[in-house]
Amino acid sequence: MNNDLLIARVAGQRIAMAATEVQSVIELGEIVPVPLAPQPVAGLATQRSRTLTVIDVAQALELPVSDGNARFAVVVEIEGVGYALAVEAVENVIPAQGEVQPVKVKLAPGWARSAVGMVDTDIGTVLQVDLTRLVCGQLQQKAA
Amino acid sequence: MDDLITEFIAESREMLQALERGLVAWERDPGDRERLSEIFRFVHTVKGNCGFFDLPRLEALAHAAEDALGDVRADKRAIDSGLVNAVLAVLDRIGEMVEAVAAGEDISGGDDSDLIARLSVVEQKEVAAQPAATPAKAAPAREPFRSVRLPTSLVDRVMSGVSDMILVRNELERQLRHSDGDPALIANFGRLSSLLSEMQAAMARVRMQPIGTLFDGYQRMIRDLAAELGKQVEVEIESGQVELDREMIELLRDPLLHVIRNAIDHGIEAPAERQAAGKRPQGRLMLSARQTGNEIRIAILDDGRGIDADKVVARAIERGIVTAEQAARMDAAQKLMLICEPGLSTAREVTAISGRGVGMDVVRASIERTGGKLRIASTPGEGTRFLLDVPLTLSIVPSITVEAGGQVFALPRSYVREIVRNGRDVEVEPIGGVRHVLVRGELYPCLGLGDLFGLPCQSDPDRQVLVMVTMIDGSVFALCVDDIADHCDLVIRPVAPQVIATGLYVGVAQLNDGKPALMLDLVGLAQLGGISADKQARITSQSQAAVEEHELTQMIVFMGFDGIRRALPLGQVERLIEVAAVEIGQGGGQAHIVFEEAIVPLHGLAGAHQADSFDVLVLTDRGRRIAYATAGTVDTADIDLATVSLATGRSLALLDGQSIELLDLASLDSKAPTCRLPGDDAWTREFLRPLVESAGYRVVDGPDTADLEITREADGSECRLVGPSGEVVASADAAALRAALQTASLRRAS
Repeated sequence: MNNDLLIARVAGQRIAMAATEVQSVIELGEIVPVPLAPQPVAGLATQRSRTLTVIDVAQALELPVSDGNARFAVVVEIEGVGYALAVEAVENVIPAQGEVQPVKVKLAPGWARSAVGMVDTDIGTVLQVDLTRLVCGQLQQKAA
Repeated sequence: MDDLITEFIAESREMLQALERGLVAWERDPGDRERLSEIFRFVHTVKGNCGFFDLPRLEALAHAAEDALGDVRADKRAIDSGLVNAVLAVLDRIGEMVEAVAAGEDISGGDDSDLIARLSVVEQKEVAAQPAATPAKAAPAREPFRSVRLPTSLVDRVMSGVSDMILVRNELERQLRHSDGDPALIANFGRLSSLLSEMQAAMARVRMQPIGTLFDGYQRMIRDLAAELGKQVEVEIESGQVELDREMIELLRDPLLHVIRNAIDHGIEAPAERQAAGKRPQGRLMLSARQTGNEIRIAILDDGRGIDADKVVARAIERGIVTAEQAARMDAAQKLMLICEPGLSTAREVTAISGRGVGMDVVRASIERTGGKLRIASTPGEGTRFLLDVPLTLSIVPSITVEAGGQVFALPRSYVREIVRNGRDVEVEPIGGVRHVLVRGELYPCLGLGDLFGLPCQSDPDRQVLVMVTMIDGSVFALCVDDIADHCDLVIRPVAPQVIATGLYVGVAQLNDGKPALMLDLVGLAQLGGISADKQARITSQSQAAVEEHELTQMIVFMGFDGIRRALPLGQVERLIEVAAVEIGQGGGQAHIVFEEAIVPLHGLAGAHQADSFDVLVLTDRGRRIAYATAGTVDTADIDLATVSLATGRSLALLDGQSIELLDLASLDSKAPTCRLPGDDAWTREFLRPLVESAGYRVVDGPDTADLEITREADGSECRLVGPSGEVVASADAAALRAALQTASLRRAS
């Protein structure tokens, strides 16, 4: 099984996502805002003729807001809808070493909602996030 | 060879599909040469091709039809219903054989001598009753032919490819504009560009199909099924310009088919039963599609026997689908929806048509799978309507794009009543904290799109643009935007659930420059702006009053001696004179005065106290003069005739919030033509009597002879006007009755 991880940086912190779920990485152009949309929706962006909903990952993780530092986006598709996960930078795609370990410490609420667990890699231990929960977490919580 | 036969099959299917539309029309008017020629050409082509492919059975059948139609074309043979049915049956058979060939089956084994024999039968009066569908043909609803089948994913890929190319083209265009390009290069780019545009337009339609083609496809089935069941069905199709996603059409095909079958099988009664119920023998079936905002509404209406909700409930309780307590709490619509519960069938007998395993439960499930909604309304004895609301996702929506705060939004054009440039014809006035605009005398609440969204918007109110939005319930509000960007057809795609959750957007479209534009949900927007349905209703009624103010009539208003305020049109008043009490003559129970050397009857003295003189209005009405005494205070006022009510048997209007009687001259004049009314029920008293009086008649009762007598059918549906010598002057419904009365009265006056 391919357990490559895409390592991105959000508000100065590293996060890992399952590379198999990532469709592409784009440089964010103009973001068209969606008035009155709930956080963490940052707006709409286009990838050629496709419209993507931009999710501010820093906001989704309840990290200090990145003030337009998010220049890149990781494109994923969740339940048929295309999302652009805005991050500060995309560092690399590296293989995970070993299985995902459960998180033993108590995480901040934003992280707790999305985290899958800790994974060891060449560059050290990173926290892997679940993309669906990252994108839809707040919505689901509200609905619940 | 294989390629050739594939082509033959495709061509035959295409021609059959093209014929399909015309067949029902041809059946109605078999003399239509053009349609006849079309069918002739088809069988001729089939015959020619078959010889080539060695399909003798198909060839013989086509040949026989060609011969028969050729004779008709050469006027050697008259066309009769037997031949029409035979030709339709032949076309069906050809279609079946073509499909069989397409499926690689061997068709040489069948026998068509029955059809060929029918073609050669010349004129048999009774053949008409025989349905074209033979019992052996188990599927009266033959699958319509579709010429190309492609996976939608492929179509999607091609479509998005074209969209991508358009974006690159636009980018290239911008770059070329800023460079001193070689003219030849620019010319070539122009060609490429227009080709791309054409391709885009074509691609946009690839997924779309007018819903009319779906409806047309049912025509034959309806005809065949009606014939099979011995019913007469008139089909009305109203598909407008509605286009639906092909995929959606495929999803709707079977559910609609089932609903239509049900309507014919269970809804529409046999001709005899219809006539017994006082209906026309032909049942009406109407298929319509309309785009309402972000939904396509498909309606299937019949004027049949309707669904008896109580029977449905009884059956549902009997089958244990609901309990009696549950049923008691249900409203009529919920009760009707029970027919969509699995295991419930109200048909007295399960017929071969509707009892084929597909139930209304499957229909509802299929519609819900498309994201749509099914509703049923029915009045026993009058008919049933099935309403399917399917979402417009992926439909092309005619839209208007607007700008607010530098951002572009789209709204469906169907909601937009008009666009008003703020300034000259619009006044803005706040009422109770809500901004309102006055457009041509009508007051509407006004929402600023920029304000609602917290976007910086055009500060100069004179340059703002108002989009007048009509909601489904008919209420109107103004949406204030910075500018109108464009009118265009947009492909609306779904947006993320987080965005939908705001309730303000229904989808997203991509504009020509590649930027996304959100399609606004106008209902949600109105709610956000605090325009509740109640408030809108109130404002609507206000605005109606505002319009009608323009229909004011100038009237003379005075107080009668009986203490009742009266009014009459200024035009009827000839003079206001002072008449000494001694000048009022009495005679024959009717007061009169002498005015300009003529005797004029004087009314309005009832209740008059002793006085030396009276103010008297001299009135003229159709050449007659009438005097009316007033208790003074004669004035003029503008009265809104729209407030006139006849509910009390007298014409009352509203003036300054109080009622005022409109003086009816005809009721004063003993020389007015008389009319006797039928009975003295509420309808006569409150409806007919005021009508008759307003037409210039005096109502008499008792044995006196009347100039006109109105008689009424026992069921109240129709009135007859009977003249003095017993002749029927007119018979009509109430509206026509009034017109007739007025005409008769005028004739008498002149």
